[in-house]
Amino acid sequence: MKGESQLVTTLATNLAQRLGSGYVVLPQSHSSGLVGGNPDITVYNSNTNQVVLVEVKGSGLEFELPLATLPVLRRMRELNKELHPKLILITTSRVGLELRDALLHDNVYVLEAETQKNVVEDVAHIIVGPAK
Amino acid sequence: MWAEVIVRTRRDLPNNLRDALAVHFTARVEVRRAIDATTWHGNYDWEDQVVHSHLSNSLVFLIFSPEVRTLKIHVESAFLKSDIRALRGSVEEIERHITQFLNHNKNGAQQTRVAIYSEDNHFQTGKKLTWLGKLGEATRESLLVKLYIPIATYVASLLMNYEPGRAAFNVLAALVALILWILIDASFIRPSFRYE
Repeated sequence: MKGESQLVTTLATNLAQRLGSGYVVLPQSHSSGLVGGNPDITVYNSNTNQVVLVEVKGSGLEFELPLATLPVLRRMRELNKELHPKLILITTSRVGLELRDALLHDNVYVLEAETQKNVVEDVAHIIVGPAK
Repeated sequence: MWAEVIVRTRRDLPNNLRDALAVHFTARVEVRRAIDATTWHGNYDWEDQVVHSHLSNSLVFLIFSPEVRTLKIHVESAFLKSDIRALRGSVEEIERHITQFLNHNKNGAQQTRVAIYSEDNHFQTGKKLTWLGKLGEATRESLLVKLYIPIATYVASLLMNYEPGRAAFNVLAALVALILWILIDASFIRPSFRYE
């Protein structure tokens, strides 16, 4: 969806500025295809080799994320398991309690995108810790 | 490609929801077989949350009930995974079954909504239309043609040397046929969901 791709582009740009040198921020430039597995943004720390996969989902607050978001994210983790990535889900939709619990159980960070500025800060916080 | 149908009901769902659904949908399959035929493949830790599962030659679905007035139904075509028409057809079929199930239990759907996903991308949302909603759509669709038919009938009747009164009667007959067609379209032909 258009709103989602705009959010990805803005987020990747702002995140690259916020994280500074030492981090490579790669926005996804093509569809993840039928099997999924490609995140919207990949953040790579060249010093620690830590990889963070950021998936952006949602169509606005009037919608709730589908339960099948869980297997989709699990597949993404599985397909990238050699990288031992951290997984962050940014959503513009509501997240049901049962799905939220399951994602937390799977160590997926769930961020609800109220404002883009906050989201960038929240993602940066997960990757590098609080701003100094 | 898959869909999630969310049904909010007017009253609480039955306490013995699993049993009630099993009675309604007689063809129940083992939950794991159904899970493995969907994008949930291999995710058995949610097996207990599936209150009903179904797998046939054409479609597979898993019904969840996260709370007492909500059903969430994960729907996929069994084989034609990339065929959106097949998926929409499956959604219509399930919605009909769920409506029957709710009616049988003296309940009803307050809101029914479907979201269609191509793996991880949400690209269509369907909202269930009431009969009046379908009637409104059937009336508005091809409105110019609907206006053209009575006018053309009147002109053709005059050209065929009908009296103006008789020509007006022909227009009336054409209008009745048109209204009848709109009613048939709204009642039996038009899909239950409007997709955006």
